[in-house]
Formats: sequence, C-alpha cells, structure tokens
Amino acid sequence: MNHPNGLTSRLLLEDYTAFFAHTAILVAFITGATYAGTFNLFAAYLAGAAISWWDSGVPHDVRHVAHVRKKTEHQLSNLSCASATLPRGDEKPSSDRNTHSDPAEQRQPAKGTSRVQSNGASCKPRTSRNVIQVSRSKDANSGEVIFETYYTQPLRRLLKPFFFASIGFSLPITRMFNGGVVWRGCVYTTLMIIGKLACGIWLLRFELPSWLIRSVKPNRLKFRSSSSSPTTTAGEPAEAAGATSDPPVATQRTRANSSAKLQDSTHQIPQPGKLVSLYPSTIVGCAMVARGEIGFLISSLAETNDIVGENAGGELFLLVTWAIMLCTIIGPVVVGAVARRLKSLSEKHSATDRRDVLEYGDWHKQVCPMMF
Amino acid sequence: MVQVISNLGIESGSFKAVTVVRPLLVSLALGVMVPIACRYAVLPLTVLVNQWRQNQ
Repeated sequence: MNHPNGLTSRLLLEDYTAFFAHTAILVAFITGATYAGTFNLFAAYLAGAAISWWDSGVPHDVRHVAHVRKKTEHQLSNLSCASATLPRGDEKPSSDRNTHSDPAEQRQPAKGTSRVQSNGASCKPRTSRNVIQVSRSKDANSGEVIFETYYTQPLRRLLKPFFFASIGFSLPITRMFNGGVVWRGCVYTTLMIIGKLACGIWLLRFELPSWLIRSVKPNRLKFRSSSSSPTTTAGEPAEAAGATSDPPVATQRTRANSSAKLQDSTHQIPQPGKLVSLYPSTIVGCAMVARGEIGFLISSLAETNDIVGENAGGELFLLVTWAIMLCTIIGPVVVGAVARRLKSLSEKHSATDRRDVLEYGDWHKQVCPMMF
Repeated sequence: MVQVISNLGIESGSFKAVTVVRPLLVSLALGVMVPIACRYAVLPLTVLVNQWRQNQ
C-alpha cells in the first residue's frame, strides 16, 4: 500500500476483515483447545477476551481511529432518526420490529443495540446505566459490534431454539412424577437453594464495632476532614472490603452510600456491629438461585454418558433435574418480590426523606437496573 | 468440568488421573499463555503494523 486509499489500507478498515479475523481467532482457539483436551467454551471465552482486549487495550492507527469514528457517528445519526419513533429505553420491540422491515434498515439495530441506549442517554442521561453504556460504546469494527452485526441474529433465531429444545427433549417428564422422586427432589432443591444463596454473603455489610473504629481511626483516617462524623467512617472499611469483590457496582455504591451517610449522619446514631442491610445479599443470592442451565448441561451430559444413575434407574438424574427446574422457577419469583418490596420502600422513604437511604440506598438501581 | 465428565463417559469402567488432570492443566495453561501471548506477541506486532502503515 503506497497511499491511504491503497488496497491493504482499505482492506484493514473493512468490517468484513474484522469479521473474518475474529471468526478465525475463535475457530483457532476452539480447535486448539479441543485437540489439547480442554473444554471449548473456555477457549471461546478466551478468544472473546483477547479480541475485546485488542479493541481497547492496544494503540491503533490514527487513520483507523478516524475512519472508525466517522463510521460510528454515521451510524449514530442514522439511528437517531430510527429510534425517534420508538419508545425510549425499550430495546426489544425495536429489534423485533426492524427484522420485519427492509434489509437496509435491518442492519442498524443489530449493529448497535447499545447504541440505541447511548443515543437516548445523550439526549437525557437518566440513570447511571446509560452513562456506562455511553462510555462503553465501541467503534464499528470492535468485537462487540461485529458480533452484534453478524452473529446475534443466527444465535437468537437458530441456536437458542435448538439449545432449549434439546434441553426440553431430554427431560424425562413421564418418569419425573413419581412420589419418591418428587419429595427427594424437593429436599435436594432446598439444599441447592441454600448453597446458591451463599453467594450473597459477599454483599453482607456490617457496621464495625466501636472499639475497632477507635483503634483504626487515628492511624488510617486522620487525614479525613473534621466535619465527617464517626458515622461516616464507620461503614467505610467494611464497604472497602465489599468493593474488592465487585468493583464497578461496589465503587458506585460506596460513593453513593458514603454521600448518603454524610447527609444522614445527623439523623441517626449507629449501633456498632449492626447489620447495615440484608437486601443486597438477598437479591444477589436469589438471582444466583435461578442460574442452573450449566448444571443441567452437565447433568444431562453425565446421564447420556452413563456416569450417574445406573444404580437406581436414573433416579439421581431425575433428582438433579427436579432441583434445577424448581430453582429456575423459584429464583426469579423471589427476586421479583424482593425488588418490588424494595422499590415500594424506597419510594415511601424518599417521600419522608429520612435516614433510610442508608439502609435501602440506591444501590439497587445499579444491581438490577432492568427492574427500575 | 464438562470435559472431565465427557472424558469419564468415554473411558467407562477405568478411572485414570489423566481424565481429570489433563483438562484442568490444559485450561490453566491456556489461561496463562493467552494473556502472555497477547502482551508479548500481539501488542508489539500491532504497534509494528501501525508504524508501517504510518510510514507508508
């Protein structure tokens, strides 16, 4: 290539090139992993991580960046007129509607489902989720956009139905409704729920006991301003511990809560060792209860390979199936109930403007943005 | 995990250490080698290509 419009240069800027490169990387990873003897899903994950690292963590050619930015802006302007007629913040109807329209229009929503949101956010930043979407909005050749353009539709229309149908057909419905199987399945469900609820332990937060605060305060917190009361400093170390477990959510929450505490320190006197709030851990635990597809995949794989269930006529597999099914049903119901209660509580207390911001906070808007 | 179970199914009857250890070690090696390769092979290569494109 001898000039900017040379063949190689143009080739490197095309999204087909990116598509073929990404696909080649994915296929190479999966093939290598399968021959080496490990699970190919892990290789696919690594391929995706590598591609998105290359998009964001590598310096790119100036011309490439300029070209991609122009392309992205072009899409954005196209999308702004398309999304003007759509109900704001509602993605699903837009993608469904556009698949039935003409092909020229069909490509754009697939190209930037995140862009619909970022566009809405540029008009009116409503929640922090939209802000995150804006900062994450990628160029037109990034792995995310290429995936959305070329792979989302086949994935949604072909592969997902096949996956769920294969799971559904492998359920031994007729053998499942046996008295012994049912009650043992229910017992196993409770055990499984307890185990999955344990995920929420990471979000339990306690106020530290007062002697600990007093001992820590002169060393670590002496640089803080004198206006901040002991209430403000009390929850900070515990929250810092929480922040390590889940950085993006937790740091926002920490910030929100510490500011809330600053406001509310006049209203309440903390009791040392008190549980701050049980709601975050409840929601995370219940949300984890619902996740069981991989468990089902593994158990059905084990069943087809005759590893379990030879001793009791496949009863073990039926118990696992019962437990996963019940968990999948119970989890979302409980999450919905807790979220509804939380919403009503926060609405009630935002009206009275009391100390409850501390206990209910606004973290739930980050944890489960779909619900609010 | 899935690979371990399908390996177990293939070698029905005999339980060998290879069936469990090999997938684990391979995935561990893959997880270590890919970031290293990205950092020390892909990044210099990309910079090189960028420079080449700039010079042209």
